[in-house]
Amino acid sequence: MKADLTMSFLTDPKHLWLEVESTTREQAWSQSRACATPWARWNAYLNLVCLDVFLPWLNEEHNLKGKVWPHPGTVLSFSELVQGVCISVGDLRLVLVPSDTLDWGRMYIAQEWIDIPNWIANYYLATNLNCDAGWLQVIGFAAHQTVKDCGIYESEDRQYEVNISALTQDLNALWLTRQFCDLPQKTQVGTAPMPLTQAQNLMTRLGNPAVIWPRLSVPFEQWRQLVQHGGWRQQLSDRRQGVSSLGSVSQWLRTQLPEAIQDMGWQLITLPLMPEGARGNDPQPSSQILLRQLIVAGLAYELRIFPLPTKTHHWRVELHSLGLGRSIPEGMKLILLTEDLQPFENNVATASLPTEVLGLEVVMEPGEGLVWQTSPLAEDYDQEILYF
Amino acid sequence: MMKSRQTLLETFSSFMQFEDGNYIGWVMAPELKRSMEAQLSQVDRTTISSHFWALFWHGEWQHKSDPLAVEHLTAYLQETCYGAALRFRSQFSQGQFGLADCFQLAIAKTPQVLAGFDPSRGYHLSTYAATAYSTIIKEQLRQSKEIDFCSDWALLRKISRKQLTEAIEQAGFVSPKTNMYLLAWRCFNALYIPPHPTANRALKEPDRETWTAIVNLYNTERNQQPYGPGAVATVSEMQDWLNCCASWARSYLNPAQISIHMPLGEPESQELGEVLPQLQSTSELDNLLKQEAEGQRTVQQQAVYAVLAEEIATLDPTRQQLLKLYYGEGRTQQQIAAQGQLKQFQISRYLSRARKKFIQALIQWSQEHLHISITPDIVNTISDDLEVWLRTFYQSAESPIPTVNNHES
Repeated sequence: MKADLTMSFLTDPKHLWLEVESTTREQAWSQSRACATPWARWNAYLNLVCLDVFLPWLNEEHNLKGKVWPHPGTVLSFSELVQGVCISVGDLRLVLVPSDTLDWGRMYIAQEWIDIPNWIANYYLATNLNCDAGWLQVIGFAAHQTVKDCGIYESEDRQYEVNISALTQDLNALWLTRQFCDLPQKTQVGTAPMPLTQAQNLMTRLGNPAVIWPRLSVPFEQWRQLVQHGGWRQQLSDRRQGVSSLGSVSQWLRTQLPEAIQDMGWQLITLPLMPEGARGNDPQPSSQILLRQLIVAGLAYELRIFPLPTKTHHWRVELHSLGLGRSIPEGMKLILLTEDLQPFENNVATASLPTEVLGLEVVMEPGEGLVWQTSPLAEDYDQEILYF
Repeated sequence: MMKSRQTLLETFSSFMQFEDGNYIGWVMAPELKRSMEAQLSQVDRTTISSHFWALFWHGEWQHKSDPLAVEHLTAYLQETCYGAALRFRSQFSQGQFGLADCFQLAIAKTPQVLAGFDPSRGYHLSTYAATAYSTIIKEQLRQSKEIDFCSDWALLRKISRKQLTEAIEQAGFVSPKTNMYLLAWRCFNALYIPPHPTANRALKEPDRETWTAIVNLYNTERNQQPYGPGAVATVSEMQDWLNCCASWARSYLNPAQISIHMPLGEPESQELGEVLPQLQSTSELDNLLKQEAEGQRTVQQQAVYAVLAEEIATLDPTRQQLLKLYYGEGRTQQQIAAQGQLKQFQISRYLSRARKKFIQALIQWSQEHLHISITPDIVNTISDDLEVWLRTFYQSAESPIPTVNNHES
């Protein structure tokens, strides 16, 4: 790499300083093409570069298993709407806040990452990218509470400004804090979404890429209610980016899984045994089922969805424990909600005793949406809407 | 050659003078002299060290009890800042910025240095300030280098809204005019990005089509402005506005400009007359003395050095050598990298790993010897302080530096 004059000044050993290869930049640039507006594209580019450089370093240097939160397929959907990208390391969440400006004395964090309950992270990392010279510098980090206490809220851009003096500059302190201090980590689930029709109206309006600043175009409270719902957030950016609908569970069972659904962790399999819940000696026209793995409280589970062959529009959703001889612990719940997260009759299955399987039966009209959830929440949980 | 100041009165009341970029001597500020004399005359405190006076004025500054405190401290830190500028000049050949430029841009940031200094951490203000000034000089000149590389269009994409707002205000504009420029810049920034991922600095002017889109966005958005709708803009107006923004941004970000705008010593508008020092100040200083803080701090510092020495001894010789070159001899990461035929990124990584090891050892030491439970604040404090400790450790003659094998990397 050609030496860059600005580099010679980068000498503060407290700051982590990583090389950005030109292939990384090219790759991120080409991925960012999917975004709807120039602003979003540049934002996605910075987010992707930051992620591609920082995450491998983190996992290698500190021997961790950090990954994109909630899953790698969401980077472009977040980037379309807001600056910053989130990674999770076990139950710890970090938001990388990339910047390529000359305002090195401050970190600007989008309000969403601070004030939307299920978006909140434990720490926010200020990073400075120089795309020409090919380096990324981690200037420091702040805990969520520090941002709330020391940050200045800027209503015009809906962001918190944190002065560099409020940051801890050496990233080592973050890992050592984890090692030496006993800190409870909390994961929160989004609450009180808006009614379905209101959400649909907003998505129609803000889904138009001619709206340059969707996050600033409606009051924050409305915006929060919309994008805190993982499924709606995804749909909104899909609309802006012109991504066509992913279809329904029935279609997937007949044909194949779209790639975006596979990215979320879903797969289609044919089970040799008749799935539990099918009645009696009914013939099995298809034993194709949709399934994905979950980690809840550090243990592996499997979520399965399949139609009941004898009854039209009847579906069964099951939670299985994985691991030999291990059962679902007492008190654990499988919960199904409507698209706008409302409960309905018989929507919760609770393990009143340790059990092998938790199951629920639902009647779904074609085009109707369903959101699954567990209690306790699954690791890296993000609401997703399944249409039937 | 610079002549150091001898008396406490001089140390806290005089400023360096430069002519044509060269040091020519010291000049006493009458107001500071009066204020310092009053303090000195209250009790016989001529035997008290300048470090104590620095802590005293820092306390006054923190409590906002004496508006002259910041001036006294700025006066006190003159040599420290000059030293940082001198070291910088010897490490980096920067033809563009002379010694006086470096000195002035750093000394103008003294309030920032004072805000970062925590007296309870146990090191002297001047020790902390030496590191802080040197960081400020490097950051400022790095910024200025970056600005030199940037075309006007690139600069507009690299400035934050806050910086641009200040740049426009510095150019003498107020709302709603400021708002008009800011909205124009927002629209530009939303719709115009570099065509390639790696050549941002040489960004060219937007094409006609992009200009039209920017103007259209502006004309839609102007209706939603808090100051009421401005007039409809045309492409050529938009181009003019953004050209203005770029030139204001450039002069705002230029460090040489910053130092010109920030006068040394007391601001003239702040004529304070014969304000006599308050009585409570006296008791604060006395308290400070009673605490015999320095004695305690020294003991703790020795313990810190012992922990560091022990940890350093466990490193392999090439790493020990690297730390010695970096902290002891003040080599830059780039110089060390060149010598060892390594990338600068690697040096940065080695230093970071060593820091992790040291912080970890210091946390464990605190747990065992101070019997405290570790909080995030303690970890942060140790990591913040480590830099100053390492520098002092390697540069102080009394510190127990372990023998380093002459094993060249």
